[in-house]
Amino acid sequence: MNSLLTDKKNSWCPGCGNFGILNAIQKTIHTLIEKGFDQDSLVMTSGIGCHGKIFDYLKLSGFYSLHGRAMSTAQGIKIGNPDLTVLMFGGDGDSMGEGLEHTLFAAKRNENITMILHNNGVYGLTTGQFSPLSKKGYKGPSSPFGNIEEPFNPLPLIIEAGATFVARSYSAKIEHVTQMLVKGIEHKGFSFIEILQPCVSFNNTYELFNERVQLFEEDLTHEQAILKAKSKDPVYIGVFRQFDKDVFSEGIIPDHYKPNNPDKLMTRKEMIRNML
Amino acid sequence: MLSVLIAGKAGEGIKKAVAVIADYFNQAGYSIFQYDDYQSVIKGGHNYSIVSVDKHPVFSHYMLADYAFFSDFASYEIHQNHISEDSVSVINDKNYIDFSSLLKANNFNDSFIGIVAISVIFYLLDLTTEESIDLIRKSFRKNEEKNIQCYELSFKILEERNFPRLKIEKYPFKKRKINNGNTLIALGALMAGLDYYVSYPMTPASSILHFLAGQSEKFGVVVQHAESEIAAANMAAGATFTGARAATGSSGGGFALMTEAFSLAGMVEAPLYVIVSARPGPATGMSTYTAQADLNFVLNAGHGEFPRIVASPGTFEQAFHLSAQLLDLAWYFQTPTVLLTEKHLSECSGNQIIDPDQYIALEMPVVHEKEYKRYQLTDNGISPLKCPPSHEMIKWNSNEHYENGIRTDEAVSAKQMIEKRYRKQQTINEYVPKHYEMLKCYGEEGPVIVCYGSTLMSMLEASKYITNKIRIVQVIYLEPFPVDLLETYIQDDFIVVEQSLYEQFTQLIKYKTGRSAKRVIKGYDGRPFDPVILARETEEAINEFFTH
Repeated sequence: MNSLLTDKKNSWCPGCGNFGILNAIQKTIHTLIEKGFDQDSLVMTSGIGCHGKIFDYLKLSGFYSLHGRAMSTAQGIKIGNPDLTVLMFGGDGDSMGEGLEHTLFAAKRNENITMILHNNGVYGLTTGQFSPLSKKGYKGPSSPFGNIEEPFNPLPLIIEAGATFVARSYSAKIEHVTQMLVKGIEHKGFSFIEILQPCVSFNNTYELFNERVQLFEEDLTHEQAILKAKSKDPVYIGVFRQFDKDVFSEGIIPDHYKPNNPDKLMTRKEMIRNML
Repeated sequence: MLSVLIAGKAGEGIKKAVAVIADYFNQAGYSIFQYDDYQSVIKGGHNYSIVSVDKHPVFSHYMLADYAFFSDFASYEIHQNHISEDSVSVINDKNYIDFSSLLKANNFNDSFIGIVAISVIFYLLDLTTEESIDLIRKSFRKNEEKNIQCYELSFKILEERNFPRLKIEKYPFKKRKINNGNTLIALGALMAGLDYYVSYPMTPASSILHFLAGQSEKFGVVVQHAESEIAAANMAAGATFTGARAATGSSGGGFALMTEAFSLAGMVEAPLYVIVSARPGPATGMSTYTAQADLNFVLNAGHGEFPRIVASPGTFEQAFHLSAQLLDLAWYFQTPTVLLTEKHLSECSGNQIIDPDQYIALEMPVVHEKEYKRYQLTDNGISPLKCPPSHEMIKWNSNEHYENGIRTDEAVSAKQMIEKRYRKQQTINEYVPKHYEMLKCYGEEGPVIVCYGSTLMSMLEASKYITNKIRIVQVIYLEPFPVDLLETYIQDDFIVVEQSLYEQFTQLIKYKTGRSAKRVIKGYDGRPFDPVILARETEEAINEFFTH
């Protein structure tokens, strides 16, 4: 098995939930390769934050984007070459905060991209400020007396926005994360996989999730999925929604689309001549 | 020279009516220039359009009409100073000709007032019924029979009132099309291989999005209306990673939102082509008017230091060619480029002859396959561009990075990469003057008037009324700036014409060359210069400084 890691020295805190995700994504890619998947066509984007460092550790082509914008980058890549398989890695501060709009619109469009949400409930890399998904009362450097905002729950939001594959997993359960990732990548349409991920330095949720996480396997309706996703105890992990719907790039890309191909220029010149 | 003015309310089809009249003159062998003045309202308000035509090339509309149609008395009152002494004006009003009641009596709604306007002007220009009906039929897809009935009604009432008719002279027809600046910018980009246009609507750039959306199937180009300018710019940058020639466009406000992605393009070395069509700011400003107050903004947009190329077209022809050049240059140098224009060029229409054969695609550098490094350190600063799918790792990184695209904060590596991008800037500075016209001088001798962008059109037209011989010097490329070329023209006193109260262009010239203009002629009320007034102001300045 060829290594999927670069020689970049890992700088996540010891015990960081990101290690589980990094392990699972490697297993996922190996599983997909065994199934005949073309590794060269796999590209990644990431936002900025602790999660984003996965870009430097994984030996995959890709685009290390801006904070919150990786989903826009990913959608551009998908239009640029719809034959590529695009993995988008986002953090909760990154793609549920500053980039929330792009996340919702990608779900609305059902673009054929897999989004992996590293949800550690905190801004780790910027020293522990509250994120949109941090619990009420969370104390960080920007909320020393406790965060007064209620967090929101990403899954009901994404389901309502139109994602066609919605799952949740827990970074300590590497096999389960792998299963969810494989299913999500194989799904044609917008796949959203929330991975609960403890932040050992600022929001250590290992005990909480070890106690509360509960696996389920049954198929759910839209309404059931939303109810189940909202449950705080137990916290359910599994596939909440999966169904087929038209994907955006297939709808918007016209026939005769030949990106990165200068052969079209001669025909275009004659068409343009008639318009001048 | 002849000008036709039609004025009234939004929703009456005034712009379209003038376009149909312009088309008649186009086919009669005239050079035409159409200006549309409208407000940010869908119904009501006050709108007007003017077409100025001449057998010689015409570069601007005139605010003094020979023929006018006013859809109500209020419009006439607004424009009473815009009709020449021997002009023929027709006013739709109870006390003049009551077209509205006539329409109502014959079951036509108010939206037919545009057809009345066309009919009136065609009557005055003494078109035959066949010519008129043919043009109306060709120009409107809907309501064919009703349009013709409406034409006949209007024609009859003018005939009854004995309005004078005067035939225009016709010239040998040269096949040419009327296009607005935005259409030509879009066509130029298509010419250079545009694959994907993604933007968010903002006047006066929106019609690029609209035009391209309509051409999507025909040209095989993906056109997307994104959720925001932020998304659009990042999507376009993302698409370039795959080799797709992507572009985005907006006005100043939208470009403000794109600046983060613009800086990103500088860092990851994405060939991002951006079209910025300026309107008066700050903030929302005046959505449907023109300005040149975003020059400093565009030249300095984006945090950090990175190479960029900025150019501004001064004519319809240049709009086409510069758009193609800037898309090519973005790819050649893998860095963001901007076409900076203004509402005045974006939305005015003309029938300038444009030859697509003048476009010669830039030969892109060849990538050597051995051990690919995305950000390979090279003498000219240009690293090899390779697109996925690829067996070799291609990493574009918004963080400072090593040659292989992996992030680094190390001082030595960071310095090398920053210097590599700087060398690219120097390569650009040498390359652009060798390949493209960066500055153009109109006129052989006389005092020098420097301008850029759509102000050139006003100045070219104004020059017809200036008795002195003058030289109009147009700066086409603003970054890199043609310092040496411009210096040859501004050794002595010179005048600048621009649409910025803060004299941004004049200050740029001073910063680049150390030379100060003797006089700056400025417009900043959102309206383009009227050529006659501009000629007078220029002449005054010339007489003050240049008569020895």
